[in-house]
Amino acid sequence: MAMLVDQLDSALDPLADLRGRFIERSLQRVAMLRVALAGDRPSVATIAPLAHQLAGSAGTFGYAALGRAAATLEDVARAAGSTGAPLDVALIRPHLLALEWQLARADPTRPDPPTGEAAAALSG
Amino acid sequence: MVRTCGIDPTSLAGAIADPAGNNRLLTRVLIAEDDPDIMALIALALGRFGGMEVTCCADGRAALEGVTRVSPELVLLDVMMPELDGLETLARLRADPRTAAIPVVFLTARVQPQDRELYLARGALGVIAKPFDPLTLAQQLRWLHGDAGRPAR
Repeated sequence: MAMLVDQLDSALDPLADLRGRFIERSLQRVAMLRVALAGDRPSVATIAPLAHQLAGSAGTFGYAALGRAAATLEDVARAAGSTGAPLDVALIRPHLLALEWQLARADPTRPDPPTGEAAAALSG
Repeated sequence: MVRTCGIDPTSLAGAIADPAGNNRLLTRVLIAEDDPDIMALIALALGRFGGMEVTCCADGRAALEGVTRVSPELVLLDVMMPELDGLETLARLRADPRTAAIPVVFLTARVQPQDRELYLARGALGVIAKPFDPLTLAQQLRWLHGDAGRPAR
């Protein structure tokens, strides 16, 4: 029954299916960002394009806050990487957390995101 | 990779309406976009909502190949793409007499005034900002295409 409802939703709202795929791909991109940041020498060449893709697509799918968080991460990474030195993980990590927070809010299949002080700290 | 996406516009005769009421109805568009989700959304916006025949390319190199194959009436380019970015793709289109006159519109998140000036100076017909509204994307393209004689914006 649930599957039938999902199919009906998709037929009535062709954007719903695309939104679902966007969320799945965004989760993959954030996982890649997390791996990149955990590496020995995180680089702007890895982080900025991933953040840029998220920034460019999130708003179009109706997730403006997610798009802004991704754009901020991209800007911070590019500014920090403009010297050519390895990125300062401590500088980038809060913006990745903010991005994860916004993605958790956008993803209907995930548990409720944090609330209260934790939410305030993450949402910037 | 070049592929035809969207749906047959002839099956949507009732849905093909040019809001500007001009006669030069844009129906054949080629898009180059490396983000598969945005690509699918553009195909939906122009194909199903806009009644256009859409050819999808994953980067600028594929777009150059696709343009000679399908002769689009307009090319919609992302700016930041692997292989060949939007600006270089535009330059190569302009350099080839067979494709030099095809109108090109950029769809990009980089829309600061200096960015826009650069795109237009290189010969783009117009610039549409990301995020964009899928429900009005076809109208925006038709507006730009239908009155190409006006100053580009």
